[in-house]
Amino acid sequence: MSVVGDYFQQHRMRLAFWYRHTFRLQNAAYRAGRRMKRVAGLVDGAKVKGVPAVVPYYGDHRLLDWFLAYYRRLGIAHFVFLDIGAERDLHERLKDAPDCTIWRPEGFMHPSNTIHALNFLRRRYAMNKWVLSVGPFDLFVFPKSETRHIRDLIDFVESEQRDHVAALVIDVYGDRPAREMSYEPGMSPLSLLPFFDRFGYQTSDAQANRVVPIYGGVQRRALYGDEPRQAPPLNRIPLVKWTKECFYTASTRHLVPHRLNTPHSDWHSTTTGCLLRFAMLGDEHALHIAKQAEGGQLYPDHVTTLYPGASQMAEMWLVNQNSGRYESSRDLLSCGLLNNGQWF
Amino acid sequence: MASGFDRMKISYIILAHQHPKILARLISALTQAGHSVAVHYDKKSNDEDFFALRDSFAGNAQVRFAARVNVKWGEWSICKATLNCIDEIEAAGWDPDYVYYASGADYPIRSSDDLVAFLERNDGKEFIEGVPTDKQSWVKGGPEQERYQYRFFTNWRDRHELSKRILKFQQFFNLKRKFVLGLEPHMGSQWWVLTWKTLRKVMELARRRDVQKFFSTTLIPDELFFQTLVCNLVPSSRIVARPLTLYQFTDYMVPIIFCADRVEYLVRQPFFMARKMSPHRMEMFDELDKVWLGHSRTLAFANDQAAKISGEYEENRQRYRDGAPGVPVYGKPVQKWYEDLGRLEESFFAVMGLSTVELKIAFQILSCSKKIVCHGQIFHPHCIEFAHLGNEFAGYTRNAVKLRNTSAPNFVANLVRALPDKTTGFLLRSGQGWHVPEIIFDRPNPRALLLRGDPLIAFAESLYSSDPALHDRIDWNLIDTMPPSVLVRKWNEFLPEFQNRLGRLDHLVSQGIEKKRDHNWNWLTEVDLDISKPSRLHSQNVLRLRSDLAGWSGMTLSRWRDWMVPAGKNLGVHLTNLVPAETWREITTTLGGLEAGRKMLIGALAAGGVQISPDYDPPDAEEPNLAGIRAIKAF
Repeated sequence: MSVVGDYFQQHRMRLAFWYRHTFRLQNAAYRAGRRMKRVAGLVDGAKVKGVPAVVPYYGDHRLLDWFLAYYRRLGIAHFVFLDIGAERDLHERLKDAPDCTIWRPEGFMHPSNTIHALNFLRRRYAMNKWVLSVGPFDLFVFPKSETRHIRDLIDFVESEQRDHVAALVIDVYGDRPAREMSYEPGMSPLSLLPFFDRFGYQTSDAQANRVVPIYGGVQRRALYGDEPRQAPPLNRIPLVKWTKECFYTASTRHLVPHRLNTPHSDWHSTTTGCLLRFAMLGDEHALHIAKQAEGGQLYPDHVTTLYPGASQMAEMWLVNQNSGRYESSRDLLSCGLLNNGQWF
Repeated sequence: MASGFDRMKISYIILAHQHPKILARLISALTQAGHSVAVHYDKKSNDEDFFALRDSFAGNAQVRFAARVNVKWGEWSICKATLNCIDEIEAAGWDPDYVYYASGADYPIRSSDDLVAFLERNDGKEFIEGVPTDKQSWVKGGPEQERYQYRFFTNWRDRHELSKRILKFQQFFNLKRKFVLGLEPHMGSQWWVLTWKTLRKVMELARRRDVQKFFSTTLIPDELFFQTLVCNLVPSSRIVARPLTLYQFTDYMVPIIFCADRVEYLVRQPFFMARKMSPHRMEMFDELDKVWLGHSRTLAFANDQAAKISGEYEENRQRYRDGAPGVPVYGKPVQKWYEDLGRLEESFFAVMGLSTVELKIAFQILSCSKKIVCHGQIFHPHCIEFAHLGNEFAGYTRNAVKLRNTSAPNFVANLVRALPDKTTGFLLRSGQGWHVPEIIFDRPNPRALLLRGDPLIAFAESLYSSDPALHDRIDWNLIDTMPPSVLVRKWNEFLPEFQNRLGRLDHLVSQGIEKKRDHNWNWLTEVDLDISKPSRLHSQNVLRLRSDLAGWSGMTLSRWRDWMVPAGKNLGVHLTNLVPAETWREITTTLGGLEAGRKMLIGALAAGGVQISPDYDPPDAEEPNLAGIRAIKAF
């Protein structure tokens, strides 16, 4: 057995693995696509200029208006919803929104297929485009996102020859339990939940698939104090230039090809974003669906989903010395949760 | 607003290939101020956009559109497009004084009047960068003189390998060519501002067939063509080698794009246009239009300050290359030894000692200051002792030992960051905190207060608990219940261990002094009490602190007062005045108890045959066992 032969054998096997793996992911996406139906909106994204967002919709209508308003102002040109709420009546709500496309499963769809369905939608509506993948309770912010367009961010990142932007999930909370608050449609959720954890996050070693997990935050300290290593990972890659070999395999935190999982390069850091998550305001039923959709993954990790914690934390008092009040992205920059990189 | 009859006339050449809406804004802003514009819109770009743009300016005699060329990077086509624009200016008969060369991504950042006044002040000057590349280098990487010495038939970027081979081939056979007309080659930035008189002379040369033929096979002729011709035609006294358009580059040599919130920065710069502008938010152009038409005023600059780049962006670029200083970069692999402490810049301190009882006295004293937050033994194995014995701090509860143990340096960094306006400190009993004691001597920002302590007290403490908590008291009655022989055996076991720990601490200190000197860090100073800014190192002070405190024997109140003065100075506070009488009384009682217990212990040991004088001081260990520490460090 020669060394050279060994090397090529390994290389061949690795290639074979990747062919099989991406083929299966692609197959799963198309299979999920066949079991869905477009209810409203465009057939595909060919004619849309601008950045699309692909969003799983869990059926909490109260937060919808504000969600759309926020992302339209940020510069999202097209919303693609996968309606997996209990009622599946999103298309009735969004009759007058020409920039929204709505798909829904025909009959029952297993929660573990949600991710493939979303991959299908990204393939269909965002091929060779930058696409934002967020949940309905997520607020994507980046440095100076109050005044800047999402395309500005993309232009800068592209100038550094990258095709992805990493983000950190940050749960926001109020000065009293979220259950005691009443959210009215159209209101900014940040007016009710203005606090976030300034520090207490921990970057772990990169894994073999180049994911760099980040643990910590309010969920770890509030719910996982006794078993901190079981806390959910907070790293995400929500903004990616989607190509035909791109597939998410666990939430938006694990991406194929693996090269896209590394947030920064070795010799310098780049601009990152944050996903401010106000899931504590969501209703129980929507959160249950969210938990299933995020937990039922290709790699089953029900433990590490973020959603089961949201309903528990909604009953807790969470403010302490660690909390900072969110007013603008500057507050996140000053404690390193956002990284500005060399963006001027 | 509009230029008067006798005022200077300026024509703009604008090369554009995208964003027709922004281009339309730019053209109308320029014509609104009375200038004329010749536009070249790339032939590759959308025809419909171009026709719409042309139609929208159909009635405007101040705007003309040049014949479209398919512009490719690094090829003659870009010069051809510019020449077409110049032809258009000539055909229109505008006969301007100056021609300003800009791109569609540029936008004015000063008023038109400022520009006209500036050009009137500097009438006859040519604003073009021209470096004689035969004598000095201008290009930062890649071919320079080769650009015109050899022939380039293919696009350098699109067909890079082929172009390089053709170049190699010519170099191998030494197929160098002479510069056309024997001109001296000059290179410089593409963006210039020239007088019309000079430009007409340039055009006479530029129309020659041999000149065009020569430059069409050079590489990147837009940085060579006008620069060479102008510098050969015009005396150098009339050339100002600074462009009037602001452009700056990222680490990746891409021009930066100014976003909407940078208007304030732009209007401060001593330039007249800037590139490139983000086309996504119109508010920026609204504000810049106001500036351009003179509705909002900008800061004036002296004539010799024109086109000088401020260091602001450059500083920003260098500073933020590896994330913002002082805060963590999440998602970037950390140094496993330091973790978050590696980037922390805030000062904090640790009180290091060998027995909890003595550390508690320091804790009591330091807790009196309002400027300081002193935690207890935060690395106690069974609980975390927070300041004022609180139950929760910075997201950690008293019992969150597992959470703390995930990373000791991160835990310390989080405690320090929790109260940024106070100085954080904690007690570090020997043996606790994994490698945190070493980090404290490694890094420039933390400080250490050393409290080596009395071996007899440490021994008495070790008898009832290996890890006593702060509120525990030494149970002196244990000594009475213990047979003297057992006590002596334990003492004989304890003493080398104590010396070992002392030696380890000494080693850390001696190493630390060296390291801190490297860091240019101060230890104790009487001059500079502000601990937020480091000043000179005074190793003598360290030694004094050691001789005063380390080798003491016998606990007295005056000793503690002595300890406090330098300790307080080290932390930037005067502790003597702050500690209330009540605390002093408490400490006095404790000290009295310790003194009595100490005597009892000496008596008990004497009964076992070990004679110890009341002012006993243990001899230094000959060879401190440092193998363990070295092993950890090597790892």
